[in-house]
Amino acid sequence: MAFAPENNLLDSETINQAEALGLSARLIVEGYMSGEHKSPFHGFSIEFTQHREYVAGDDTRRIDYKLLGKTDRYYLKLYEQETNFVANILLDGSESMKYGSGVKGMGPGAKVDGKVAPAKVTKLEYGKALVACLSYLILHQRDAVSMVLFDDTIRNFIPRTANLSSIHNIMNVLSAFNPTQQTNIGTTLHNMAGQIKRKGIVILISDMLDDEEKILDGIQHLRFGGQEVIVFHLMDPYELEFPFTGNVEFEGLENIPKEMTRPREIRKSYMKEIGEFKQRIAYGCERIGSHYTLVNTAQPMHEMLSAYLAFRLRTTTR
Amino acid sequence: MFLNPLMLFGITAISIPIIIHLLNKRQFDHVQWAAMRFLKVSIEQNQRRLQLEDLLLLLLRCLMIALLAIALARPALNSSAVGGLFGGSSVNAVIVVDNSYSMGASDGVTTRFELAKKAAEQVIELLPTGSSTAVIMASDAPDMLIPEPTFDLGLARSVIHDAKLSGRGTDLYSSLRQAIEILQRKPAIRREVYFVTDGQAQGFRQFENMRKLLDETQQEIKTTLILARTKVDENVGVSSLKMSAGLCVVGQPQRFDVQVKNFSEIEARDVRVSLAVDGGSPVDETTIDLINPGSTRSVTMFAKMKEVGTHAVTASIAPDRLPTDDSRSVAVRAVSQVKVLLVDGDPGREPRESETFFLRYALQPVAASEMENYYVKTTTIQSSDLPSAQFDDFDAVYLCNVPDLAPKTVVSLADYVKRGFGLVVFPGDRTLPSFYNEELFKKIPLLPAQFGDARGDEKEQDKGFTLRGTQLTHPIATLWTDPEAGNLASAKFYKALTLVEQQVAAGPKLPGKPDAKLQPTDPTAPQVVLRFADGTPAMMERAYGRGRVVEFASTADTLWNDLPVRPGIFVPLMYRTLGTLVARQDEALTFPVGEKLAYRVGADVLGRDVVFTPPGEKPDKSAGKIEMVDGAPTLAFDQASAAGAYDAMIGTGAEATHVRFAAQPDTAESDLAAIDPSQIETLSKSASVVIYPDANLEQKIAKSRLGTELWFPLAIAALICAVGETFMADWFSRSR
Repeated sequence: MAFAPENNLLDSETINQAEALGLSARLIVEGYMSGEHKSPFHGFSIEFTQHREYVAGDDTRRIDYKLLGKTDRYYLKLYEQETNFVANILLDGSESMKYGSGVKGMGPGAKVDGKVAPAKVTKLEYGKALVACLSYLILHQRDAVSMVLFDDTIRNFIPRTANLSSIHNIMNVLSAFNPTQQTNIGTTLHNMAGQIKRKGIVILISDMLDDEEKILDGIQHLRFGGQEVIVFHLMDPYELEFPFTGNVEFEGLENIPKEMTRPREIRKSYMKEIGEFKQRIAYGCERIGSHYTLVNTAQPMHEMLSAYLAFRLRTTTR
Repeated sequence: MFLNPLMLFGITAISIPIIIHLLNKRQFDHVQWAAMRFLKVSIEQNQRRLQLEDLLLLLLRCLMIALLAIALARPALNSSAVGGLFGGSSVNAVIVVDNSYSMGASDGVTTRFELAKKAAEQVIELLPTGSSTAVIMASDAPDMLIPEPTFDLGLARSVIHDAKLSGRGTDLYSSLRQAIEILQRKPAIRREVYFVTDGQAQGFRQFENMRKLLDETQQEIKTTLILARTKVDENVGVSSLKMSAGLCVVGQPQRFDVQVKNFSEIEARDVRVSLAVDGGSPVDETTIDLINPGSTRSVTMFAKMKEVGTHAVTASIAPDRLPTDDSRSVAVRAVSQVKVLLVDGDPGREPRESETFFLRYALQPVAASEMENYYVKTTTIQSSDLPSAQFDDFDAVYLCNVPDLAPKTVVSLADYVKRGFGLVVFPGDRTLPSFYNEELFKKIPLLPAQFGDARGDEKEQDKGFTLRGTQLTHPIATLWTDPEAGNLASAKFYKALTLVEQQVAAGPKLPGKPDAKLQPTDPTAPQVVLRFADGTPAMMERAYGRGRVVEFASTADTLWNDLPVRPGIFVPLMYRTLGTLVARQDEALTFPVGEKLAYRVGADVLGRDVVFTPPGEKPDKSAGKIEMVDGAPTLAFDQASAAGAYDAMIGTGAEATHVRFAAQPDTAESDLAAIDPSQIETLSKSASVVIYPDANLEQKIAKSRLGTELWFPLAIAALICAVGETFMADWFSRSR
């Protein structure tokens, strides 16, 4: 799948595939659309409206057992229409997200092992595309989306909207987003946890190159708030494989001092560090009950998203 | 020690990997990177290891270059202990084999030369693998058979096997020096000279120079002197053969003086001497009854030449243990007639008063009726006829009391003599000494001496002076060493012009003969033929160009002396003088072995091919041609390494002419006396001396070989470093 530039982030093939699969929530979400998703406010604030006779396949948790006792028939309690869920998409726009191994002017900068294909876009561009795809999918199924773009602080915020036409605004904001600062994921997550009132989904798209404990704390805060957290961990293939050879001076993107080394001779050590890092994030997310997906930015978007939605569909109970 | 110390400068090349190492630190790619945190941790964890690996590789590279530079400098150890560890080093050798004719001495089974060749071949067998050797044949001059050391030892073996004995004498110093110079040009840990000779004292005549040379070079070059001796008790040889001064005329018996010497320490009895012409049957034989040890006996023998031209006359004795000196040859030119021009400066009124009267009869001592057929033809002219005389029609010109000569005549006469003809000058009362001194001595050095003041008075004949009859060494005068030939002192002289004898430069004393008289260095220097009783010269001669000039102090007639009326002295003196003049050109036909022939021939044979036949060999058809040398057609030959008679055939078929010439061996070489044991002792301090075949040559040589080169193990070590560096660099740079 060819990845479109910033101003045209909607890949029709991606959208088509995503639209076909649909996006379904695992937890009950308060939302605006009925029939498809479980409400997160199940048994609390929704008012009873009427009974309906039970048919095979209905959720047995809705069976009115009092009425069963009285009538010896099975009836379901019907409530107000289920509220549509809100997907709060958080995109990390820190300096480190600007890295792209195959992007002109950025990488690779040194000789590399030819077996590892570089990413054609930066992590940020990939992230923006992912935001766009997810936004469209969610808006298309008449769910709501809000978008937060942040680095060390929240830079852009698009409030919750269920209007599909707002996708254009989302694109515009994404396109205009050009971060220059270091990241502060943990703080942002905590802020979001404080701001998001309704239960929904929080999708964090970041390279996670920040204090891992604070990130996990932030995720946990969100989880405590009843949010379902999905973490898309973006990593460039060169960050994953470290295929450099020769003598290389590495210059950090976030004002970190330069380091000169012979990459091949420390690769094993680096791979161990990266592996442990990924493992910590993944394990931490799972421990907290978040969904963790490692995304190689060299992988075409539609493949990645298709795989993820299919996986989500399999693992989500109806 | 280092055999190639300049290469040690290559050690400075270890700066190259250091510089590259430092430059590499400045050359790197730039990468912008996001995941710096993990990179930093990895770098910190591996920093020390990387630095150690870099240092190790750098050390290996520097070590490899240093080892290579040292290996190229060819270090060597002079220690037999080390030699066993690294194997024996190859040898750069020079093998010198004495092939002078004394090496032909035999013990009845084998000759010294065969023994020497066997020793030389054994030396080659004992050379370690990878060795090289040059081969020199030593006599009185080195013959470079293989001038530079060759690794082809098979070639060296073959060259030695095929080497021939020469007829030359021995002077080993020049060959030793040549051998050492060859090795000095070739740096190596082992440089060896093997000198195979019979140890004849004659060969070590420059003993002091040899000792000094061996002393100076013994540290760098190991010399082994192999004395290949055979026991030879007896040796008698023909030590001299000369044609007596006189004309060699076809059909006339020619006198030859033969000397036979007993070189051994036991007396020789009944030594039969034979004389042959051109390799034919003996024409004269005689027997010497006794020759005492170390003594020489002379015999006079006669031979007739049957044809005009050159002939080789050979005197031989029975072959003994040293065959080369058992015969000796001399080349002579037989003529059918000799033409003499007599210039009479004072004809007188009566024939008897003529200056040339007695001279004419002395040169033609036959009856008037036979003069026409006599082989000496005389023509007499007066001084006034000189300008028109054709000198080239005569073999010699006699100036008898000629006052002076016209300038053109002087020039013609000088040129005439220079081209190989003869001139005899008799003074007289008309002679102008100042003219002769100025024109024929100072301006053109024709005369052997200036005329000085007159001595005596022809009128006071009772106050005469005589010739000295002793100490006669000149070939013309040696006849009178035999008392039976007459007494020179019987002739009386009343007046004579002083012949001012020049002091000649003294030559060096002959080596080995400290008591020998000093020899003149210049062969053209004037020589005294006869002296008066008071020692002043009475007759002198000198060579001028290719000719000869004889000068008398007194007249040819009886005005100043009575010599002409003493036919027993005057006739042979005139004959021997004329013979010396005529034979001048032909002296070149007999020369010592090893020297070159350069003989003037007629212009009619210019450009013709020449085929030489050495003694006892087949004709060599690739010899050469008659070419112009110094403006004259010349027969040249420079391969006379054997003693004996040579034949040169000029042209082919019926028009072919033969020129015979002879190479004579050095008599001194016949003395087989060995080098003094004290001298061997002296030489053994700076060289190894082996008596062959008594001593074990292999043992001696193996013991003397010390030391080994270390370049090979160093090169291997450098190679190991290179391989190690390659593997380690690859191992260190693998992904970790």
